[in-house]
Amino acid sequence: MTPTRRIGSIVVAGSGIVGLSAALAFARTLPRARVRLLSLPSEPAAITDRMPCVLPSIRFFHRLIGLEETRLVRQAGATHRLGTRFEQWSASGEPWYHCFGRYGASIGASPFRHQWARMRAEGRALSFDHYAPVTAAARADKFVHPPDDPNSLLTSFDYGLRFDPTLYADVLMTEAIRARVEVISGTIGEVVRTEEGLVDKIVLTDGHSLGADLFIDCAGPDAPILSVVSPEFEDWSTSLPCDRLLLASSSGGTPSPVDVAVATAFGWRMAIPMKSGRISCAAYCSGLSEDGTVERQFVADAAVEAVERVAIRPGRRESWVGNVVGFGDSTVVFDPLEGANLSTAQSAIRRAVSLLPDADFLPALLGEFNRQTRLEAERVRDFIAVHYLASTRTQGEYWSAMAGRQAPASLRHTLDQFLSRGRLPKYDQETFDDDSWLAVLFGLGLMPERIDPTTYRISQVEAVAMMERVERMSADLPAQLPAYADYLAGLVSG
Amino acid sequence: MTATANAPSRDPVKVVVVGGGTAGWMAAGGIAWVLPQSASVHLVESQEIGIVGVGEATLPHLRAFFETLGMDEADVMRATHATFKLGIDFRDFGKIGDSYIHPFGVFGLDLRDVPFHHHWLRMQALGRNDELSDYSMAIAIARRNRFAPPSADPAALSSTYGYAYQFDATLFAPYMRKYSEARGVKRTEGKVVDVELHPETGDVTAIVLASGERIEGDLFIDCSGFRALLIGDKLDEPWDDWSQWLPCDRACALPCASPDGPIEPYTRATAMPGGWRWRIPLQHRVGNGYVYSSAHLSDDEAAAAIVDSIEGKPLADPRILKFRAGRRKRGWVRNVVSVGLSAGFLEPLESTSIHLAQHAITYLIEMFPQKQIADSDRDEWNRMMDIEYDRVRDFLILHYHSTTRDDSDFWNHVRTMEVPDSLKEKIDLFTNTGRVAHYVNGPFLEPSWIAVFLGQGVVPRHWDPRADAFDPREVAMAMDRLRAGIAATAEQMPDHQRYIIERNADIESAS
Repeated sequence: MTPTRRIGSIVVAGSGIVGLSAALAFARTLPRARVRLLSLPSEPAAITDRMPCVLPSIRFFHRLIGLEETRLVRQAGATHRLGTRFEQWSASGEPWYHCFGRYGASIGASPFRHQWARMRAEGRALSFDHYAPVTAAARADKFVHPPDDPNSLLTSFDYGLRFDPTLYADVLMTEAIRARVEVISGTIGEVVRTEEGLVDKIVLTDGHSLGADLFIDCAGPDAPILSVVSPEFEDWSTSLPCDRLLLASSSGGTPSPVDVAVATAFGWRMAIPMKSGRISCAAYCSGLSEDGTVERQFVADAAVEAVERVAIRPGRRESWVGNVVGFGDSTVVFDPLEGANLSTAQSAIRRAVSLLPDADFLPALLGEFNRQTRLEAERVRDFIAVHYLASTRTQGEYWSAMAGRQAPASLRHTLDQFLSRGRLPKYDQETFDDDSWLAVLFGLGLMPERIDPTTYRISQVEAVAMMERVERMSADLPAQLPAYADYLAGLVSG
Repeated sequence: MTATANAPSRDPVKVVVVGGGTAGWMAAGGIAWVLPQSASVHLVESQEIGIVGVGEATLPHLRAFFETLGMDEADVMRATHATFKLGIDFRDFGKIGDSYIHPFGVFGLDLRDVPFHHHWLRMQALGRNDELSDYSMAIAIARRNRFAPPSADPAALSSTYGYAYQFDATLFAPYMRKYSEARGVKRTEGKVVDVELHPETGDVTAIVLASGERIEGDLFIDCSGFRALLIGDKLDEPWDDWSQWLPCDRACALPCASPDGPIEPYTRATAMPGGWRWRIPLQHRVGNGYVYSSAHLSDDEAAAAIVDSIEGKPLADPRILKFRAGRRKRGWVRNVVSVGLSAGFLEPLESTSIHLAQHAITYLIEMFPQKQIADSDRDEWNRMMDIEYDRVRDFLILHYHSTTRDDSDFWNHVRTMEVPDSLKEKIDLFTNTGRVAHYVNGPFLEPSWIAVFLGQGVVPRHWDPRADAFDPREVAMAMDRLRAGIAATAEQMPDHQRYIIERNADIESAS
């Protein structure tokens, strides 16, 4: 075995949540490396820094950087996120929930989804989201932590979080400084390359230059460093047509574990309840709708005042080239429906430290990182895109424009399998598990053409009894749970 | 769970299984059990045609098949004279004198997210002198010739391994036949003399037997072995030849009486000048065979070598089997699904024959079609099988290619041959970084690749840099504790042979 040169110095560009997450993760992983965090003028289009919703996988990231959830509840305004209530998002207009956790109960060798589809076709089942304890809790605006007791119904719960973006950044900054991350401010003037095509240093407009073994670009969609070595950008606007966001904050309201996403004629609008106040957001496609019209409607519907408009361009560029890696909007942009932006960035950061190369940046290792990261991003794209391309809703200029749009091949594959027989193909990287896909596909009003033949092994009587049992247990649950505001207050006070 | 009359009345898909070996009866039993309302199963086999029956060792996945079919493990094992299998002991592969077990289980425990083998590599470089195998529960049990089923408690060391079986394949097919016939599978004895195609669609409509009997069906499962009566002879689906990477094309099999001493709970694979030989201990005998490349070794040489190698009284004359590595381009064409040897053959080095048949059946049940077969069902099944075959193929080639052996033409050939790009990338990644490409599909996942890479002597140039952040004294202490814990846990397990004998006795006294 030969001794190798480890990465000894790192410059992270961008000190938003993504940049802080990366700096902290690398500083913890490489305690001997010098990590400098370059704070840049704020970039409004870096939406991953601004939409601080995360998926259940956040616990892995927080374990990596050593953050306790309780601390975030107390110091970063964290609230618990069971999922999203979708309104007007299908032909029937019936609201539905996509929550994290297990749906249904398996019976015999036939998955629950097949039994549900069979019973639904026979007119004997409520909508899919009536068969999970977690959606029942969400419907009642309630939350508790899943207990250790494996026999409890509540172990089927899973949850993500949301933070106050400023306070979360403060906590991460405190930790970064404790981990000896050096923070500097400046504006990038020039990116200087080596003869081999690597990045040699960044020269700031004040004349200072920053050299490092590894440069991490978390500076938002312009990707000032990554785009130098990874210029090709793959445009995803066909499957993710929303390229304008409207953002607004308001005060008041009670905390809730449920986000609300309403399909509008122009796209969608979302309300994210925070510990105090809420963040409202709307998304639309500039090629289909006129800015002023959407904004007026948003102000009226969301009851907000100051609205900020942000242009985004969904798509991606290769994440790691030579000695430059990008996280967040510098490498992949999707609209914030389903709140996967920050989790996708933090998942890539975790992957980067677990596939951490040496200072030789071996192509085989970067190749494996890029392969996994690309697959993960594409499947998140597919999951968001399915809300647009496969919805049974047709009303409104946005939705009529979606008719007949071609889905990317991997999503087409999922849709073909699902629509023909309720099956979901298994991909090597999936951010959203089968139950999440099913909640959305069934919620959108899609049904498989065929009932899977394995279902008939279970008698109708047995299947009905199983469905009723799951439904009743789920429906009975919320009455036993505290109101979320009380539960949260208990966590804050300890 | 019972099928009841109030399920919608349906017109079941008529499934005709052609061939009654291991693959045929597994397919018939699986479909009859899981799809009692949706399929009727008719199996045609000829007593004139024997079972190839090389597949005597299995993979842990087979347990899931038994479980799905509601089969009792102890009963199957007694009927097939089966023993437990914790892995494969590869001898002389990386170089002559080497030995490593590819276990069904993990190595060590990750320390703060850093996979164990990186710590081990680093500690080796720092002067610690031990074997990675000291940290495998499966290997610790195997080397002691003990066995106990794994614990369900994920915190227990004894939950860190799996197991499979070594059984008499010529007894397993009859066992599955009994199972299948009890669940409504109809069996007809006879030799297929003709296959009729629909004049317009080209689908198979019926098979005709020598007796003149004509059997119609909606879906045909070709389990006719290498003869591939439907998928090959009739539908002419081309064969992808993989012998450029897997040159072994013959086996010389020779069962022998069990020698004195313990029954090993693992299979042995010993590299030979012209290929390798297996040793599979069953309850009542030991299966042996020399898998070789006919371009490098004559049948007589192989027979002489196997006769020379066995450790007990021979129970038959050496028998030569011929095969070729490769597979049908598509395993499912029109209304014919090939399962088993008609679909492809990858040599038995990692006991994947039965596994690939099982996989084909499991996916066929998952993608079970209507009478009018949807393209999406067929395409998806073919896609999944492509992944499975390709990944098994790469894993097998690794055993030959990553070697320093230069003592025969055969080893010189496999050591220097060009390997598929997909394997080249995996080797490159591991050689340089100790990392294994991450996949969720395919039978061999990260621990298997680590076992074979390191076992074959592929030492990565670098380990995971995160390992450097750990205090070596703490890592050493954790490793000491783990090694001692594994050894102590294994010591408490019963002797493998005694465990089997006592379980058989329990069944006999209960029945």
